[in-house]
Amino acid sequence: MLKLQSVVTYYGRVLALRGLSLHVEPGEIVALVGPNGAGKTTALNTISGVVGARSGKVTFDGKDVTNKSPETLVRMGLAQVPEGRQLFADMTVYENLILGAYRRSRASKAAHLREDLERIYAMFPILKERTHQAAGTLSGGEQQMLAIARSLMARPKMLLLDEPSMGLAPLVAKSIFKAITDLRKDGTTVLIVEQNAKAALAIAKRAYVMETGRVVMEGPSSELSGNPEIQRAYLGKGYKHLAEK
Amino acid sequence: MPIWNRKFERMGRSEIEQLQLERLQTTVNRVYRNVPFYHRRFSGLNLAPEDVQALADVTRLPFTTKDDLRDGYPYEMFAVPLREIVRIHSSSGTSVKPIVVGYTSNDLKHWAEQVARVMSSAGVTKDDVVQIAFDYGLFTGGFGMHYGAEKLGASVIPVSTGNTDRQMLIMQDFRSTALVSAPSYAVYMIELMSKLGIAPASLCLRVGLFGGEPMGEKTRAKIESSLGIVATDNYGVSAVMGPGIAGECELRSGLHINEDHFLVEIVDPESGVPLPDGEEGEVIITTLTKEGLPMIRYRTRDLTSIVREPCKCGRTTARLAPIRKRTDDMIIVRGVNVYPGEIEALLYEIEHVEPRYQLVADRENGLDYLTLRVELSQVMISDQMQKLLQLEETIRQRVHSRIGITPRVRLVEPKTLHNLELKDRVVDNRDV
Repeated sequence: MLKLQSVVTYYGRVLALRGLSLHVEPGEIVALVGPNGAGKTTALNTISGVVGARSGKVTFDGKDVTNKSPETLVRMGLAQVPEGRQLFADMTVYENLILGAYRRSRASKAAHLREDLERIYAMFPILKERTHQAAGTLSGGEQQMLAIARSLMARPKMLLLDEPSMGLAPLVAKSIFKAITDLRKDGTTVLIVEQNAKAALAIAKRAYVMETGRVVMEGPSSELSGNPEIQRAYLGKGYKHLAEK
Repeated sequence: MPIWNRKFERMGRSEIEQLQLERLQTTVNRVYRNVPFYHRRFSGLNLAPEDVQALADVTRLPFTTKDDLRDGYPYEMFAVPLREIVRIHSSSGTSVKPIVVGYTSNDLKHWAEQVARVMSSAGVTKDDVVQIAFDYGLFTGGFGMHYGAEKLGASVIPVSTGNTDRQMLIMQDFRSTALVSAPSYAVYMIELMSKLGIAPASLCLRVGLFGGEPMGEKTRAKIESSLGIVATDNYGVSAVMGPGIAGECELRSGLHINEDHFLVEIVDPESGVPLPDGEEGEVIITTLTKEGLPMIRYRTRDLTSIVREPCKCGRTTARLAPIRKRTDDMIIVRGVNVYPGEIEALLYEIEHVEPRYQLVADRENGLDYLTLRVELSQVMISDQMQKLLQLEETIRQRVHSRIGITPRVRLVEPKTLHNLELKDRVVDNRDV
């Protein structure tokens, strides 16, 4: 579904991605984890066309999409849920969702809008309750749900999620991760960027661990979460053990 | 026959190459950060990890040799702290520093998986009774094959080597269906069976996996016809992992490489330049998933060729032709690697002989023998039989304690070996 080969990206004058290669197969949830500044968000922004790649190749759905515009990628079925949600605060939940379907043709909208709304409401019942409420009045968790739901209204083949648990209380974050796992049941492919490595590894099938613009570990989540280095660096285990040495 | 891991053994070429690129870059990033040896090597060549942008860029990376590993004795080449290592294997030898290989818990999981694939491709299933006649110990053969067979779900008998009478008793009474051993050991057992009057037909054996040393086609034919089994060849390199790197399927048309874990190149042994598919050259292995002891372009000194066309068995992995030659003059006798250089070094330390010698490997009644012919020094033409016998015994013992094998020692008169050409220094009369 998605393939990156040695992608190099500068963020301003800073070399943010030093040759990133990864792939996501159809229907997979794949996580990109690592500390702040590792280049995770840059990776997503390069995939979605928000930032240009200096070199390397991005392939989506079998087509070379390196440095294609975000609009083109959205039309091809790639949707990004940005960090910090970026909702239309004054508009209602319903209006935000309808806007999410904007990229679809009029005919397709009319035929499926209701159906899609029902699907979304089934997935996030709280949004149905809040349907006429202004998005800005929602709690952080609800806003995150709305941001994901709005992206799904475009019926994407693949979803890019940037730090969906950011700033959320643990319990709320948990419900977000639950919703993401449910997405997989619909066959949506997901690439998720998370600082919360533990939660990301719990829902993803595979993961890439980034550090300073490079992947330093990759593999099935089950193997990575058992890896002592990951545990120490990202899961907060083993510090005591280290301190005793 | 079922394929153990359909995803990885039947991957399309572009998928496997994407996976190899990702894992090669990850491995390079990790060794650059964690192994001072590689950091120095790369820096010396003005190489940064990001210079590996495509699979072909692997050829820009420096080779790792056996000497590099010895210099790093015992733990210098490890990429993780020792507390993350859960298993340690080592090569034999005390005269030169051995090569120590550490495995993390993920490394062991991967190892078992890869051996399970090799066993499965040879036709072993969970219903088999697998008799493992490889040494269990520092040598990777026994444990390596053992955990793969267990992963497969087979009933595993860890007989190990030696005590051939018991080995045969177990083979008969436990109704072993699969034999894992060195080919020479299988031949030895065949000879012994005929001596003891055991009819191979009375055994339940149906398949054999042979490794640890080269298996010639004549040897394979003898094993297959005498035991009535399918004999497959498999390939491992102890310094890299052990068995499980590649193995033949039942079609026996090349050894399938576990390409999701190893990147294999064939290069000209002289120039180090990569050779086209199908041409014979030295096998170079880069590990793609190993955590404990990752290896960049390890020079195996084994000679063979590679083909990438999918096999008729349904697997798409690249295949190696059987490995029967080496770039150095090392020979394997009874599972022991014998380096002529080591013998020479040892002779320098013994009085009354010259460091001029010839090594001869023979197979008699299925057993391998190593004969060491040594030139006496001028001053030692002694008529005292006693003294000569003593000298022979000294050499025998020294060789045994150094390399772990007892040779037959033949003292020859002065000046009889000094004109010996280098290529005649080692004579292998066995079928390999």
